[in-house]
Amino acid sequence: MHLSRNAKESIKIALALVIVYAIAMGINWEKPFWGGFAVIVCSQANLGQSLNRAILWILGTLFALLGGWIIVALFPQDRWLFMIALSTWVASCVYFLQRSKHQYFWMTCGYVILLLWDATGGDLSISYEEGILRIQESLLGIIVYGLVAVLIWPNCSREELHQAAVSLLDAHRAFADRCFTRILDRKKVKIRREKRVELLKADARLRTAINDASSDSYEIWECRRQWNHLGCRATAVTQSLLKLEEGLALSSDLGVMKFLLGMKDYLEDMKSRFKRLRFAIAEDQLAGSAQERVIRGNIDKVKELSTSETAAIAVTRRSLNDLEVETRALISSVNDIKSLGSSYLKFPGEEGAYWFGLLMPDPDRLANVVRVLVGIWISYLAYLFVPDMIGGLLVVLLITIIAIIAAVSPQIRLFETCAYTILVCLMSAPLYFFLMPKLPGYYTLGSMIFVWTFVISYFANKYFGAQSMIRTLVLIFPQIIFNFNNDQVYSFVVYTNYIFVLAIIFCILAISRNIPFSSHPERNFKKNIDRLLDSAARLVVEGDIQRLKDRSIFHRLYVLYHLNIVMISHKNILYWKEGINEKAIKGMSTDQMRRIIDLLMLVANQVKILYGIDRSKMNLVATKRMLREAFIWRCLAGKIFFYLSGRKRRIHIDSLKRGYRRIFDRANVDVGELMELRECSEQSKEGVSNFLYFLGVTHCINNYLAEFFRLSESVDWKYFCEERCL
Amino acid sequence: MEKVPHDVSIGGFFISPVLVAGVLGVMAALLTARVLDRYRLSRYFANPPIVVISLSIIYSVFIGSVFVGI
Repeated sequence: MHLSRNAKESIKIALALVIVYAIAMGINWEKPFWGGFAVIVCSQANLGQSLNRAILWILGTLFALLGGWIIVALFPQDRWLFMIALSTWVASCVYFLQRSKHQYFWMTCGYVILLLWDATGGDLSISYEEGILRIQESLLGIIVYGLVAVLIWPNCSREELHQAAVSLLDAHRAFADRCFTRILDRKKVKIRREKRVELLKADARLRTAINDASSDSYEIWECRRQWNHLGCRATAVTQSLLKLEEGLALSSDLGVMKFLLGMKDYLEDMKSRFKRLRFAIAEDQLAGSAQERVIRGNIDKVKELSTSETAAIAVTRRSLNDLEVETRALISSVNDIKSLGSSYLKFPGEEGAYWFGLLMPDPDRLANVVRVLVGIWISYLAYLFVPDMIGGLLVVLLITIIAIIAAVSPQIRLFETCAYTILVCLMSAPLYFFLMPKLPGYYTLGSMIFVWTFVISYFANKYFGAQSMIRTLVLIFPQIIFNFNNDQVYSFVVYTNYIFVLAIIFCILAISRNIPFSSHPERNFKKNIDRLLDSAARLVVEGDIQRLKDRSIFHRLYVLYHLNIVMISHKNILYWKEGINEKAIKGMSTDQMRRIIDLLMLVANQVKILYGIDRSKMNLVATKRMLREAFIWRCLAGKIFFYLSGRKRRIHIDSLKRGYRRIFDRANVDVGELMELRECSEQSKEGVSNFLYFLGVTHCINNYLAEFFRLSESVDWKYFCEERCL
Repeated sequence: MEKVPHDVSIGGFFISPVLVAGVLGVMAALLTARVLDRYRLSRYFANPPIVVISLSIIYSVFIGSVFVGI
């Protein structure tokens, strides 16, 4: 009999729960539920993810225990100081968890401290025994689930890693082939959104697969550094291909082959590299070696072009050279995996960018922290001042858990989540009232737990996915209601209370989600667009890394903040887009929304490139008049960005176009002179190349801005952002 | 006229009157919210998501004190 993966995973979680409850009740532990809780949370799509979560759970619990004891030791007598310290702890965890690679560690740190506090009745003491008991129960759940996952139908990630790597390399090859064919045919390249998204998804899939396979496969763990390096290099190739497509959109119809030297050999070489890479990964062999290759411009031919065309060729040339460098590095990284090499040592790690992203203030993350804190404080004050409040501290604890999970996925529909959770709790009533009191022993109770968990897990996985919040909640809440233990009590009041607790929790969450501002997906979608455009405006106006060295630390932070916003906003926009119900969109069509997202991705890419162009080298060659025109362009583009970001300024897209024409008119006069300057020295050559590249990037930004302006004017943003009751 | 608080019997099951009033209140609030959304009346509220909760409480108290008795 063939069982689907979903059925197998559901059987595994059901079996693990039965075993955990059997052991916990056999030892006569107080609340076996916490072991079951660990099983539910650890059960993931594959073994690697489950083991990762299990390790992070243990580390997070230990860290939270330590933090809890420190807080108790510091504020043993003052309820308010204790609560403030607790809030600060939870706030830090929520802030870090949103950008961390180890999300589950921070998540566990955040709520286990409240769990321990709740276990002691909120009497400002987190006892050693209680803490140890929780850890024991959690460990039991983790170990049992780990063993079940390893021994029964192990869903190892190694095969998935292999498939993810091959499919990414296939996507690279297909994308590159399409670009190269257009170059050869001298046809215009159109930016195709679906292909770009496909490439980015394949890239993200490989990174996840590397992470998972490092945990559940010894062979991958042995060469995890090499695999991580391959992941980085593959991302770099993906980015280079995207930039190449953007460059070719400007220049492919000019006849790139004519203006760049050695293109034929280059294209052949690149095709062979992609082919070798794919073969090496698919057949587990070495990818050979690659010679350095630099594409140069045919100066005589380029002189015949207008400045805008020269700039477009400059952008394409830069993209082709970048692609060559990155594919060469990718080949080395593939060889490293086979021969356990160490070429990754030559490259800077991703740690710098990671810590930069983790620590940099981000308005969305801060808003989520406020939402969690508001939820905790409302429930805590209600617990203190509402006499005989239903649920008591349990409400504080559950609100913290749900709010922390919601902080990672704020686009979830709270009403839908609430409705499904209450529905499953109501479905559990017949079992709780009619079946459980009549069960003679653990064999029958175990069978009931197995069947119930299997059914709920199977349908939750099928309709919401293995990692969805609804799945976790519909599995957890009935367990709270059943409250399996040796002194089982059946009470209608307790059952009704739990349903009320659920309703109270979702009411408080519905309020806290709107503080400091609404978590309505459409509004946040627009807010992130505005934020991206605003930061892009500031970077375009700012535009120079070198000058920063002379400025204050505050100014550097200001620039880094906006750089961070430009880097993450596209991800944030996609994140909120997931929460938008495409069937009920108002004020714009689905197609318009997709085009807006594409354009913003392109704009963000170009602004990053523009900011990164080393202007100090450019200054060596460009005349003062040209630099002045460039400065005027920056100001005009900045104004347009500000206007589009919702800041009402009296500006029109035509004035940008005038500025755009001015810079090209100015450059047209001096382009011949620039080309002569190339010959002076290596430094001036680089300067000319940078200046032409700058012109090309401004050309791209102008086109994207003009299109975005037209799109933005055709959308009814007010209607789009209008909030609804449901 | 206010009703006297008493448990509600459904098929021999005695259910708390608060539960009955709460369920009816939530259903009435959902219906009202749907009507408000349908006719674009939600935009006149400062914070539409809170409207459902507020209506649920208002309806529950109203139904509880007038029809069920809490």
